[in-house]
Amino acid sequence: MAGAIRGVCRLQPFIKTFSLISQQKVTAFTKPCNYQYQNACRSFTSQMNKLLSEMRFTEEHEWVRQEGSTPHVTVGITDYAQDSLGDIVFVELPEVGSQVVEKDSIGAIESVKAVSDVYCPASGTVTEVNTELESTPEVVNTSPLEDGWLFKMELADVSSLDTLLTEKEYKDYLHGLE
Amino acid sequence: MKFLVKLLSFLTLGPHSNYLCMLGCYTHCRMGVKANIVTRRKYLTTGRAFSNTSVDNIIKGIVYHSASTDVFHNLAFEDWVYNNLDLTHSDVLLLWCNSPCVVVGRHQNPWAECNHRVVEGSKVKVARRRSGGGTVYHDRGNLNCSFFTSRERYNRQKNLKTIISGVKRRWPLVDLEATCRDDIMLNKDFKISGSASRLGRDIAYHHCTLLHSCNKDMLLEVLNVKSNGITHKATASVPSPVKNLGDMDARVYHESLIQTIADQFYTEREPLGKPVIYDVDPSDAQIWPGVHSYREELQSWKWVYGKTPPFSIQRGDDTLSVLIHVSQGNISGVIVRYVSDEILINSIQQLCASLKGSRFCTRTHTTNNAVWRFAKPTKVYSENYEVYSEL
Repeated sequence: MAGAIRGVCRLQPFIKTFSLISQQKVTAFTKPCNYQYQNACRSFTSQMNKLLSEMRFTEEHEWVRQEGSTPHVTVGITDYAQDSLGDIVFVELPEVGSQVVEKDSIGAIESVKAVSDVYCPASGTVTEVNTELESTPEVVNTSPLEDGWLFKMELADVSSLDTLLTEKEYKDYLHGLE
Repeated sequence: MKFLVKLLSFLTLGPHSNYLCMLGCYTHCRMGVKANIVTRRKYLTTGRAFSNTSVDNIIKGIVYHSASTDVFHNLAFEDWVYNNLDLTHSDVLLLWCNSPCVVVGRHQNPWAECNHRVVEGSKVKVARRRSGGGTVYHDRGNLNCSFFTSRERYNRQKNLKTIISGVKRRWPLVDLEATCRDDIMLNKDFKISGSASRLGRDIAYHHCTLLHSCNKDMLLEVLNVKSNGITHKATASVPSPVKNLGDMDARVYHESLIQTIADQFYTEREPLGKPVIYDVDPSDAQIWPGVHSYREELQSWKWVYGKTPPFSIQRGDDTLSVLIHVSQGNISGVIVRYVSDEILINSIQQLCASLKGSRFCTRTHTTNNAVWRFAKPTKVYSENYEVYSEL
């Protein structure tokens, strides 16, 4: 029995050492990776939150981002919209220089499911369109709030932005749709 | 008399429905096949936008059948319904067919999708619809069904189920199935229906074809496009083997199909008025104010061809090649590359200059060949060089 106990006692330090090593290994493997991943998530989330807080929205699921306090804005569709549309295969944009009127249909997005009209969020003049979407329309799916912007315009009346939904109001609107 | 009929219509439809679908005389009255509902045909002579309300949330429905076989009239009528009707509490089913034509999707390239050498000079028209999807060949043997609903009630599978249930109820031996791509397959192998849709703020429509006795030889000839040197990023069609419903049962033809589908439609919705098929003239601007402007736009070269996404077309061989860039249907640039001892730069540039800005069409292919013939060297010298002429 004494020999057996000794045998067991002798095993235990090995077991403890093994456990420590394995724990250290596990920690060494996950801790830096986990830390970087969490940091990246936090950074992305805060970027998104900042983006969303600077935007206004429409009930047609478009977003509008003003450049400073100028009448120049960028327009795109929300993540909810791109998700509903499915894989986007073609984006039809208005012509640069065209005068557009609030709530008019000024373009269309074709996905594998359907063609959806794009509505103008406010009246003004189109100053630039995202020409990248001609060759890579799928960017609207992957980055609807940033790289997948549709067009830029100069508002006829900057105060028309006040009639659009804030981020909170848009989220409440989405809750109502569910 | 008109007042009496109007009064009757209000009494029939109930206090909440304001749509005048009952007025008019019986210019067409045909007995439909008796299923659950007998569908007679009535001719609509007046009408106005829906402004019906419903306190009981029951969805109503009405079936229209277009009396026109002109593709532009019918597409214009779709636009009219899309832009003018309030379908909060009602659905509309439009049944229509066209004289021979090719209809391309909104963002497609008509030159890449159909054989223009067959189409040009024939009676086959080329049209572009507002919805997306691929290219289809229409003739009197191809029935189109357009389901108009509110945006919330948009549901393609439900619409396809309406068609399939109706057909199976009347012709039980016909094996039909809807796929996840919203096609209808016959005997699992043959496509008899394809779908496309347009979604708006408040209203949406899903339209689909239904082959029952189409001229398949003509279909294959028109849609057979051999490699023609076109490079494009437009939406491409997905070809499928097709068959006619009439091949399975000779009793399936236009009249019997529309009666069957209308019957099924009315079993799933409360009829807005009588459960009948209403014949409509889509070109009548008195009933449908503004429909002519839709037709003009849909028939214009600017819409049919000018809406084509930018593309390029190249022809040539080792000694000469011509690359033409086309944007909004117009030639935006020509690049000629040729090997020759004769310096023909001025002549080539003059020819290319005459092409730039002009509309692209199959005659340009001939012009393309003219450049090739003009520049082909007649003699071969010991020294050769390359010349690029770019505009």
